[in-house]
Amino acid sequence: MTLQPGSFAASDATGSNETITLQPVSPATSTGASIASAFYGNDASGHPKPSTVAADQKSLTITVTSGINSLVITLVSPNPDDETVQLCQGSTVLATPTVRNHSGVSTIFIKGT
Amino acid sequence: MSRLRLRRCILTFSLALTTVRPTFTSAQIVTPAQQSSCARYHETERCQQLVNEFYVAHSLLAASPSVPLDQPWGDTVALGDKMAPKAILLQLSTDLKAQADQAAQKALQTISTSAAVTQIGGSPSTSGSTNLVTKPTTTDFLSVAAESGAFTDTLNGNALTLQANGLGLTKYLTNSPVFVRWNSGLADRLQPLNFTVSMNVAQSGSSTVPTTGSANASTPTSIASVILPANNTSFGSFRAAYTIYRPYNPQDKTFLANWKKAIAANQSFLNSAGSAIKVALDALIGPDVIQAMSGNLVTAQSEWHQAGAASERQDNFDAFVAAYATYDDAVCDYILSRSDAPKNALGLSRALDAFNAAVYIVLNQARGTPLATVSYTYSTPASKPATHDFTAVLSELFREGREIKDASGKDTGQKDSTRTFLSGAQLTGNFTASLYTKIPTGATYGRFRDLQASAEFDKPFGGTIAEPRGVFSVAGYGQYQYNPTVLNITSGNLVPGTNISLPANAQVLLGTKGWIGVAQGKIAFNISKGLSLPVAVKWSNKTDLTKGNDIRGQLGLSYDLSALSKLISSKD
Repeated sequence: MTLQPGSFAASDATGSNETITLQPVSPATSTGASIASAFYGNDASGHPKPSTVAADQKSLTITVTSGINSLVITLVSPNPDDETVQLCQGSTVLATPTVRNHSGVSTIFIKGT
Repeated sequence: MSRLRLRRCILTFSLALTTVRPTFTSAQIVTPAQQSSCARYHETERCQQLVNEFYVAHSLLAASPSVPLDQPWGDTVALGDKMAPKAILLQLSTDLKAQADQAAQKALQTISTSAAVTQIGGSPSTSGSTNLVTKPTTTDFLSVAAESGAFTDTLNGNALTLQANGLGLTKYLTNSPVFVRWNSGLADRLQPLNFTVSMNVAQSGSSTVPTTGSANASTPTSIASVILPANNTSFGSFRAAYTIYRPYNPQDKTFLANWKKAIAANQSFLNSAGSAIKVALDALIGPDVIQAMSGNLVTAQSEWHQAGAASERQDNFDAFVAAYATYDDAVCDYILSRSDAPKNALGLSRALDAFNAAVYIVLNQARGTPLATVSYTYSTPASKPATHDFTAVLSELFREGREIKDASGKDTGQKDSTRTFLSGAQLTGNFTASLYTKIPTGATYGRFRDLQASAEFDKPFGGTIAEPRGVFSVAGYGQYQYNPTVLNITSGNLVPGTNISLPANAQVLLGTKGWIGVAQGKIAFNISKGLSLPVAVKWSNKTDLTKGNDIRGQLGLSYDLSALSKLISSKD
């Protein structure tokens, strides 16, 4: 199962493991931006639950939970210039945040069905 | 739809070759005309995304039931920045004004770059200054200080000093929110620039006034003029300072290695900032809001899709931006229409600013600490020739806590938040060369007035590291004067004991050349956010006009306008 884009939230089967990757936007072929942190859903005590970020900080993995939950991804870049990047799951573009002045934040709502 | 998405995400390069207009070479470059369209519809922060959607993913909008731009929170910073001014206005216009003020104050404290011990008041050469050493940082916006005292001068002075930061002033003059972080490379260049103007106030003097005749018989008719005492305010000095950082290149391997090291060192800080953003975002846009949008914003989304697709067919980027701006506004207004939304939107802004501040710390660590602040000061001290002063300021901040060790007891290179003796302390050194602006014909003294070297150690006390109750300082200062002090004799003066008038440019030498040493102890009380009261005692081996030890006190009062919460929003 993959994340299906929707009008206001992407949807996926509850329990699915999904990997979201950080990619450059054309015509750039690489990006210096990286994922600083990612939080999806909340733990038992109601605190944001950290997602697993890959060692190269170019992707993260989540396990889809039931209901609508937010995935908040913070981005950093050593490049001072504005750079729009895309967050993709497989072939799907989920968000196109712009990293401005070294930082950016993107939120994706995911509905677990 | 899925096929189109596949093309966008994986075959981006081939799409660029086939769909981009001949004049458009890069999706990352926004032309002035495109910027103008984005600015016209208040979509400046999303301009790259709109350009990307319009030029690179051209026709995707018409073919897809949804595109990333449908969800403005995909760029949470752009959404937060769009909502913040509206949220502040909504908050202020309700009975929640008190909470808005508090929220604004907290935002100010987060945004302020004044975590270090900053310069309040004039530089050491300013008449009346309480600062024996110049600090590398001043205010984020504007500050004003009134001070009384003297270091090397024999006579006490009283000065009023106004300081301004290049970035804060630029944002204010361009009607931008002063305390919202500017997401521009220009901000990095303007932030280190500071200006200072000092005025000598309550300055005693005299002026010669012609008489219009004798008033009684006992007064000689030969008295043509009299000397009246005066109390003047005059220009004291102007200072421009720029903090120099180690230049960096994002492509440089050393910088990139330092960047990665700084990210790792601050990972827990970045994590807590990211977690705070999620908490704030969930409070603002909960699952119920997303659910409700599906029923309430479908029409607005459909209209944006139709108008956007039409503008793409007509190749009209301006109309494309207008269509998106209408939709973006509808989403923002819908989110803010909920009862607690304005307060929560301000909470999100604060969380985003805190993350920005965390990233700024990472950047500063990656490029190293400031190398120095260089400044130029033009001074016109009372009754003395004007001078050009060139100063280099070196500073070391001690922010961190204790070293964190791993299980084997080795240093990890990271520090915890434990408050130690040095936490928040600052060591500052100055080196100044002072030159006379002009040398009159036949002068018996040279161009060089003096060389100065000084150092100060500042130790915050009480409160928190970010907001201490006060700062205790000890400072030492040495000045080597090449000649005795030059004193201007004004045209109204007579040679003492005679009635011989002197020419307008008459000067005399007073005191002795050589070393002047000054030691100072100072406590600056932070009475409230932005308001401080420096009280100091100094000892010097002599003063500029007289020999012998001198012990004297200094007093000041300063206010940093960075703390004015009403300036947090633009004057729309």
